[in-house]
This record gives sequence, structure tokens and C-alpha cells, in this order.
Amino acid sequence: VKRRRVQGMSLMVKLPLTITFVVFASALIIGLMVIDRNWARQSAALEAQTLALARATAATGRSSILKKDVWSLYLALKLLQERDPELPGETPVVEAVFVDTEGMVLAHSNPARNPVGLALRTSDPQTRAWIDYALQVSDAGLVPERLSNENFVDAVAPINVDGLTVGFMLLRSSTAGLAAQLRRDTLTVMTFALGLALVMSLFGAVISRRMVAPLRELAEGLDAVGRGDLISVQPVAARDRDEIGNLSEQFNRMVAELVEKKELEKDLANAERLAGLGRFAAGLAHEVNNPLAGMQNCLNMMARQPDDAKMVLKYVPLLETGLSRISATMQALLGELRGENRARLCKATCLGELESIVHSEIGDRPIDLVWRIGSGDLDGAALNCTCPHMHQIVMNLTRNAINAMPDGGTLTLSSVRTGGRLVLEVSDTGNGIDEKTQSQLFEPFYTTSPSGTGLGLWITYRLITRMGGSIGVDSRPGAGATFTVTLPLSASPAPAADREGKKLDA
Amino acid sequence: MMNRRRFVGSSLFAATVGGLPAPMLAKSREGEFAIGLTAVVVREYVRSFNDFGDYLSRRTGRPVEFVQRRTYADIMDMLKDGNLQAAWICGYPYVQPRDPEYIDLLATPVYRGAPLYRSLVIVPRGSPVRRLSDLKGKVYAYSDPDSNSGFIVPRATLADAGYDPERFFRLTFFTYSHAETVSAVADRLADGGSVDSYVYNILRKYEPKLAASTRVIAASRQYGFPPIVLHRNMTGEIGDRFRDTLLGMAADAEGRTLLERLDLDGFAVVSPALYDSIRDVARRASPPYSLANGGSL
Repeated sequence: VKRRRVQGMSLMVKLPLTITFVVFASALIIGLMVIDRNWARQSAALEAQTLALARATAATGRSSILKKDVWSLYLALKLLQERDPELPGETPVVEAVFVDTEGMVLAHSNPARNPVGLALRTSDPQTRAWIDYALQVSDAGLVPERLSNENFVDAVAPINVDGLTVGFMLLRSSTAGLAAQLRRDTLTVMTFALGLALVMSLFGAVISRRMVAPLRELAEGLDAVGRGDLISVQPVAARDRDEIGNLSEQFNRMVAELVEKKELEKDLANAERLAGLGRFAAGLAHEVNNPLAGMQNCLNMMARQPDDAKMVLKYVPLLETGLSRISATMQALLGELRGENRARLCKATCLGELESIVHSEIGDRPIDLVWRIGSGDLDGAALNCTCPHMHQIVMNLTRNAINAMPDGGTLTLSSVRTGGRLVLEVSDTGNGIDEKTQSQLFEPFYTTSPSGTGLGLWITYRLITRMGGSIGVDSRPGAGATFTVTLPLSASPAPAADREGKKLDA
Repeated sequence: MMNRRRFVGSSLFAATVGGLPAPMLAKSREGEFAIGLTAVVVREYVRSFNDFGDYLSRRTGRPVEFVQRRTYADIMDMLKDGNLQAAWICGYPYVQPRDPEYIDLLATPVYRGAPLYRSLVIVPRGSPVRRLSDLKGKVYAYSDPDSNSGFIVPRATLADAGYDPERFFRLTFFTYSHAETVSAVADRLADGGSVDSYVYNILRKYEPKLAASTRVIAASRQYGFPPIVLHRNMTGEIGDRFRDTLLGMAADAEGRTLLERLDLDGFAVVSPALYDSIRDVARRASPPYSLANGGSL
């Protein structure tokens, strides 16, 4: 949960926090390293100082020891504990003793507790151990750490006269001053690290604000683009010429291009619609005009010889034919536009009835039929239309396929049931359809054959879309064409009204 | 713990042991009148003695230098060799027999109305010691083996009480200065010590904290005050001029100021018989001791 919370934090928080942590940790580590080295150096200095003092004091005490001059010895020891006014803090020397070879005190810096003329008193076994050690040494040196206390540095210097040891000078320095210095240094370093971290976190906040603000704007912009809401996308101000600035510029350019493209598409769609309308009107005019021209001829002929009954006999049927053709065209057009005979259910198995019709449609053309409409496959399935409409769809596509193969070929009809869908395919091995034609294929009155009305595929398309299905074509010039119709299936016939409502919505 | 200021004083003294700054090696200049000083002198006196010297120079027409040495013995040797013309010494060196005698009494300070002083036994202020006998087996500080008040008197007192002064204490040492003896006792380096009553009172005045760290448990009878002695080859006009100057100090303002700083009333000429009692006590303080009465102090 904690991890997720960290991951979920804003960069505005994460960045300053990271900078703060890194700066704090670095300052702390460097500071502690310096303190550690300083501590080692100071400790060594204290040891050297203690040893040097012990040596020097031993040397000055030599003649006083021989003369048993207790007072001079004592003065020498007191001098050791004198604070140097030049140096801060107390002198590190806490205890200084002259003893004879038996360990008897000749002078002690604390005479009240360590009387002269008596054995050096100590109740502390560790101190006794190092005194015993000290009385054995032949050269001045530091008392080994194992015998000493970590709070002290102990040095011992034998006092030799003419090769004979007459006494020892014991000196004890306290590391308390060093420890206090260490505490002060540590406090200073911590304060410095914290202060630096604080300053850096402010710096980090400013930096991250500068960096994160454009990122956030970019994210909001991208979100709007994702929703397709290009209107509310504001250009992101690029403050710096860095990666983020570059990204902002790219984003702004991308949005500008998207807006432009969208405008263009809208214009294009309008133009397309107007063009379609124009073609529709032209087709309609053409379709009406052709019979009209014939009828005009008939009327002209009849007008020329008004009394000729033969004329009437000859031309009236032609007029009728022309009129019925116009009427049929209008009927088909109106029927489709009104959406008649919608949404009844037909059993998918009715497709099986078409095989013989297709055969007769082929007639004696040199076309092979491959029939792959699986009757068993369609059992129990229902389609949202009437069987005649279904037949109309298949036959329209089949006729087009046959017409596409004037020199013969193979006509293939197949159906596959996948999931809740029926996929029908009508393939030919004809001349194929070029791309320009493909784009207008389903428009009304669009036709490539002089005898066609241009309404077949349009009606097919409308039937299919009304059923909630789709139609597509896959073709290349010279390589035939395959029309694929995908229709939703109803497993069991449902009430027609309900189905109709749904389809109307769709 | 030792009082810091006090200790600075002691170390200053230690540093200057062997002489006042000017004539380190006491090389007598032509016509110079060198006066030796010893344990009687408190270190704070250095400036007073410089002024004293100037005063004497002006009054006598001879350049005067005070010369300090650590022990009486040193001073006596210098006096004997003629390196000093006079010296302020203790009564005990004065009464020691010399053959041939080379010194005479020049003048004796008058202290609180008389040329007399006492030997005091002091102990640390908090010490339970009440009597000298309580210090048996303890550490004791003497000032100088040739000091009457700082060495002879306590030893005679012990001997009189039937103790062997050599064995009575566990350990004894010399500080070669009455003032340092007070420091040694105040620091509890010594459990007790003997001091000159004149020096002790001076310290009470100038270093009350140091003096207050100690307590007086015994005072001796009065003895003749440490005298200023003159080398015999100075006897005559020069010696007289110096004696007259000293005797006249109390009569003039500058002299009185100097005397006040030294806490003295003036100088007087006394009979050598004044020091007979010191001769007597010195005899008792030296073996063979009369250890008759087994010790009651």
C-alpha cells in the first residue's frame, strides 16, 4: 500500500523529496566522514601529546626524584593541568603521578585522594592492572588499550638515572574534550545537512514546479485528445528549450494538425455527401429520362398521324412500358426509402432454397457453381428479415457476380456461422472492381452496366444495414471479387415488435 | 582542588626561583649593593622590593639590587663569598656558628610593635587535626632546613614532647618558601606545615582565599624577627648609611608607604641576644633529642 502511495505521488512532491533526501544523505555522509577522520586525527594528537607530556615531565622530575623534592614534583604535575589560555576548553590531563619503583606515590595531581608516601590507591581493578603494567615498562609509551579505559589515554614514562630506573611518571588524559568536540561537530553537521536539505527542497520545489507544470498540461491535453475533444485543448507553453519544451512544441504541432485534419474531414464528408446527392439526382434523372425519351418519340409519332389507329396500337403499349418502367423505378425507390417490409424473422435455412434459382440464373453460361451454403449449419438460426429479402440480397450479389464473368468462371457461394453471426460470401473470378468503383459501389443509381438501374447493390446495402449487418468487398482488377455479408443471427425467433424496436434504434 | 590563581602564583615563583629578574646570576657591578632574600619573601613582593631597592639607592647613593635564591644555604654561601653585601635571613642562619664570622646585624624589622614573630602549625581547613600530635604518621611540609619557624621550631616542639622528629611524620618535604608551604597544605599535599606568622598574615591580607583554605592549630612562643645582616667588609660608612636609611624609613612618607606594603612598622637595631632563644631551640631540635617524656604536645 505504501509503495502504491509513493508511486501515486505527484512529481511535484517526489522530485523535491528525492532532492532533499539525496542532499541530506550526501551532506550527512560527507560530514560524518570528515568527523570520523577528524576524530582519528585528534585521538592520535591526544595520544602523542599525552606521551610527549609524560616524557617531558619525567625528564624534569628526574633530579627532584633523586632529591625526594616532593614539592617540585608536585608543582611540575600541577603545571600539567594548567589550562592553556590560548586553547579552548579544559586541559585534557586529568591525572598525573610520580611513583617510585614500588608504586609509592611521590607526587600526585590530586594529593588529597592520593597521599604521598603511600602506594597508589585505586579500587578499580582495571586501573590497578595498568599501574602494574606501568611499573614494568622500560621505555616511555602508551598503556595498551586493553588495560586502559576508553575514556582515557594513559601514558607512562620511566625515570632513569645512570641506567637505573628510579621511578615512573604516569599521565592520564581524558577523551571527554574530544567527545564533546565530536558531539558539537555532529550537531553542526546535522544542522548543516538539514539546513542544506531544506534549502534544496525549496529549490527542488521550484524546479519540479517548472518541470511538472508543462507535463501536467501535456497530460491533460493528451487526455482531451484521447476523448476527441480537440476544442478544449490549450496549447502548452514551452518555457525551456529542453526535452520537455521540445515535447510541448511537438504536442502543440500535433494538436494543430489534428484540428486541421478534422476540419478537412468534415469538409470532405460534406463534399462527398453533396457529390452523392448529385449522382443520385443524375441517376434518377437518367432513369426517368430514358423511358421519357422513348415515350416522347411515341407521342411524336402518334401526333404526326393522330388518326392512325395503328399508331395507337403500336405506341400505346410502348408508352405503357415506359410508364411502368418509371413507375417501377419510383416504386423501388420509394419502397426502400420508406423502409417497407422491415424486420420479420426468417429461418436461415431458407437460403438453401436458392440453389436451384441460382442454377437457372446461370443458365447455359460457362460458369461453375460452387455451393457451400451449409444447410445443417443454419439449423435453428433465424435472421431479422423476410425470406424474400434474404433471397433478394443473395440474388443481387449472385447476378452481379454472373455479370462480372461474361467469359465464364467460377461462382462460389458459402456461409459460415461464427458465434452469433452468419457470414455469407459470394465470390466470382471475373474482372474485378477497381478502387474508384469500390468507393461508389453501394450508392444508388451507380452502375457500370448500361442496362442496370444502379439500385441493386444500394438496396442490398440498405437491407443488410437495416438487419444490423455489414457488407464489404474485396477485389482487385482482373482477380475477381468477393462480397462478404455479415449478419447477426437470432438463435430462436423473438417477438417481431421487440426486434423491430431494437433495430430501429440501431 | 587548587585555586587556579594561586597556582599561577606558585608557578611564577617556580619560574623565578634562583633570582629576581634583574641580576639573574648576581654578578656584582662596581659599587653595587646586593641584598639577598629568601623564604621570607612572598612572591607578590617582587614589585615592592624593586621599589624598596630604588628607595635605598636614592637614599644611600649606591645602586641596590635584591637577589633571591631558593635556599638560605645558597644565600649564606653568596654572602660568604662577598657576592652579596647584605641579606635578609632567618634568625637560625644568623645564630649558626661561623668561623671566621663574616656578618653582623644591620637592622631588624619591627613587626606589629616588636621585632618578634612566631612559628605557626597549619593544617587544611577541613582537616580533623587539632594538635601537632594528631599529625603523627602524616605528611608534613617544612619551608627550609635553615628556617627557624619553618623547620627548627616544629622539630624542637616534637623533640620536647618526646618524639623523634625524624620518624614522627610519614614523609616530610621542603617548599623553600613559607607561602608555598601554605599552598602545599591548602592543596592537601601535606597534612600540615610550619609557617612564619609574618608570611601567613601577609597571605591573609593579599591572598585571603589561599589562607582561608588552611587553619592554624598551634603557635609557638615569640622569636627574634628574621634580621637583615651586613657583610663585615661593609662595616663602616656604607653600613652606617644603610642602617640609618632603614631606621629612618618610618619617619618619611615614602618609607612609610613601602613599610606598609611590606606590612612592617619599621626597622630597629636589636641586641644579638634577641636571637639566643633561637640558638636554644635549634639545639633542642637537633639530635640527640631528649626523648624523655614520651610525647605530650
